[in-house]
Amino acid sequence: MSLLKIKLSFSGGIELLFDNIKQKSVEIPSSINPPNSTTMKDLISWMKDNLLKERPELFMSGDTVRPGILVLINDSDWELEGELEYEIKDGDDIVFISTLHGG
Amino acid sequence: MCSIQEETSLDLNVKFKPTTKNCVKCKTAKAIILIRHSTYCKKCFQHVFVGKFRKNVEKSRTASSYGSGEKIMVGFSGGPSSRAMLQLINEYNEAIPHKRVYSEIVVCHIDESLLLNQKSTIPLIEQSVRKYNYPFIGLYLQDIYNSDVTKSGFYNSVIEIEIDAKISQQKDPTESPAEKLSNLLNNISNLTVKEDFIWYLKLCYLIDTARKNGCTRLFLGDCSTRLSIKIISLTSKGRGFSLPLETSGETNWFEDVIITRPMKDMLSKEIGIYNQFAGLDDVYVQNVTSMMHAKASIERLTEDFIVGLEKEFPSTVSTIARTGAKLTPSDSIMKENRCVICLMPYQENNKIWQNRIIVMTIPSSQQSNGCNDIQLNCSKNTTSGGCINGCNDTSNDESMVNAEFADSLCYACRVDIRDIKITNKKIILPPYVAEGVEERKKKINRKQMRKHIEEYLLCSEEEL
Repeated sequence: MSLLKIKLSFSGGIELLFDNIKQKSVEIPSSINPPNSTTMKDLISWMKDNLLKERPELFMSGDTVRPGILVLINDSDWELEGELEYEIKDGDDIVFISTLHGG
Repeated sequence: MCSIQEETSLDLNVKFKPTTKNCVKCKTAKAIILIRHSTYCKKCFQHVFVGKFRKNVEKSRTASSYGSGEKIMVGFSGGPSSRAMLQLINEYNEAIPHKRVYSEIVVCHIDESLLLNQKSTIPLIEQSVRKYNYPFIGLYLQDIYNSDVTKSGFYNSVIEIEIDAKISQQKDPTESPAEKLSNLLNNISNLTVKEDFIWYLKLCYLIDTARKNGCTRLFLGDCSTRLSIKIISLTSKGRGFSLPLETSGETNWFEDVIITRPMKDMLSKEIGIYNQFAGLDDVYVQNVTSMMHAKASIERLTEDFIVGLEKEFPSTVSTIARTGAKLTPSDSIMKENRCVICLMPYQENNKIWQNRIIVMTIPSSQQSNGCNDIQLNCSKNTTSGGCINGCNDTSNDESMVNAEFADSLCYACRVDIRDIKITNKKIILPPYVAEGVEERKKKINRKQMRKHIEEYLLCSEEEL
């Protein structure tokens, strides 16, 4: 099984849930849930198990991210990329931005 | 053959999935952002975003200020919305360098780190606004206790809330401002009330600072997501009377300082994406309900509710915001009826009305836990039953102050005040509150005096 190298970024306060790290390069299996290739859904639950330091309820709601958290995949709104079904490719740049408490 | 997509209507999955992947505006570039039901490419998105801002700012430019150049203040929390606002104001003002719209732009940040026992946010904020070369004012929220944060500039009496429900007006005690503020806020157990207090203290401080610096306009960064949360939460907190003033795109309630909210048409999603594209890094400023569960306060709960609803029904926020924008201030709002704490208008005789509909204390428990309740009634001794018309014949100085104070609050602030727990420590309200009470008293005295001598007056012009 190969590994995918992706870059994760956090901002808007969500970084506090991830050890206060704003950017992180990680390697994830290309197929977390064989035989299907890794999707955003897999990535989010993988992040929860491997990266999230505290309070999963502030990051997730069900199997997706909490409302109010924006996700950009390669600078593109994930809502146009298929959201949870998006298949992650090597070198993807994924940004999580919390818009809660903003303003 | 049939290519009509099924429109599921009763399913939760009603969310519109765009079929076209091109930008709805230029129709050529690939869309990368979905805002409500429309898809945009990066360029068009930025264009529309800046356009919304400009439209709002242009609207607020009055004929008189055209060309002359106003001095303005930007309320800068460091969050995404105010960060984007500062950038937009800067771009707007520098568009035609020799003909600037604003003669001077002052950036003001209020540090509330004391409440969370954290490092001051001022250095970080200052760093992030430095590149604009605007004068920066960094204030600490506790300094609202300084005697110069008042209209007169040197008012040093304060209102103290004491153990047996006495509210006395006295010379400023010697504790430090930080102690006074933490005493006040630490004795509020209810987070909703705490947030309320913090917000209105901040607002009053901003207005005062703008005024003293000669700024005629204060820009606040409330975005439409924020405003729709405010519309619902203010309503539930009993602040409906002042709601139109607190959520409108522009208000002159503070007379010499006009509040403008140029971000009122942008969703927090748009702001987040704009900041990401523009490379604007916001400073994450924690507040009292950060990292708390959704039921921590009314505001938090409302946020959770609206943001959650917006995810399934992307028109939620704009519907609330647009409905809210249709509200106009009531005709019965009077400039002189200003709550001394939040400075917002109160309804005439709201105390009488409140007493009639609300059980403030359970009759049987009045004695036992009386120390938790601050009686803001006209008489300090409610158990004797002499409260109904005791208002006029209280000779006691303390209860006079008490009554005056209670009369000069709005409904919501009076409800808030009841949540202040009285302990041995002195709980003090900032001098601007005391000044407000005093000012109001003077006005009433003058009115009464005028009534007394009315028949001897030769002319009846409003001269007094």
